[in-house]
Amino acid sequence: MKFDYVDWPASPSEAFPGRKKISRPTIRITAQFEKESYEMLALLDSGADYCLFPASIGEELGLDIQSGPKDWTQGSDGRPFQVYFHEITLIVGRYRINAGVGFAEECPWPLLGHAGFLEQFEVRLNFSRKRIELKLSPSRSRPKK
Amino acid sequence: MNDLSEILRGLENQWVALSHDEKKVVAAALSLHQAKQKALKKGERHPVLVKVPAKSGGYVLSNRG
Repeated sequence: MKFDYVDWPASPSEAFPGRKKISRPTIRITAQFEKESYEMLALLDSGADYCLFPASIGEELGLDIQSGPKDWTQGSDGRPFQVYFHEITLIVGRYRINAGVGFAEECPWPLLGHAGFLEQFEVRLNFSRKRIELKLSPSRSRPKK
Repeated sequence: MNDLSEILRGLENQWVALSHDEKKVVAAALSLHQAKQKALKKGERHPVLVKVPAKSGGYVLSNRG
């Protein structure tokens, strides 16, 4: 599967005076739990140990967020915060995968990290061409029905 | 290239419902639920939801969002 990077709005700064936008490896996914589903853009994050979504997404999917197994994680500022895990379905292109996704109030937008997502694919990020290539690992998943 | 930089400008820190082809903003709100409901009311049955980062600068995950 091939995707284009997404350009997001950005403002100039002292360090980047000409900046008007930032290209990020973002792909369209559908997050599904039972009969609820949301189609959204999510960031491929090779620096994330696992998938992490805003708690509001889980709530909209009908999950009782704090009933899930708990973990602690931290962002770049080093402050720990709680994450609650639930198994949901992620649909990417023609494929659907089951993924353990962490949900946290502190997470600003959906991140597709290693456990649950990147581990199931061979991923190629080509920034110069602004292209993303995802190939399912042979032992993973099945075509979407 | 999927350039959303202009249509999302000024919508920082909001949930935005895009049209299914991702060409235009259908609705924006502070919550995911509100953004989707607004989009459905406007006739977009399959919106694509995006959360626009709070600051229009570089991004690394921190718990300041």
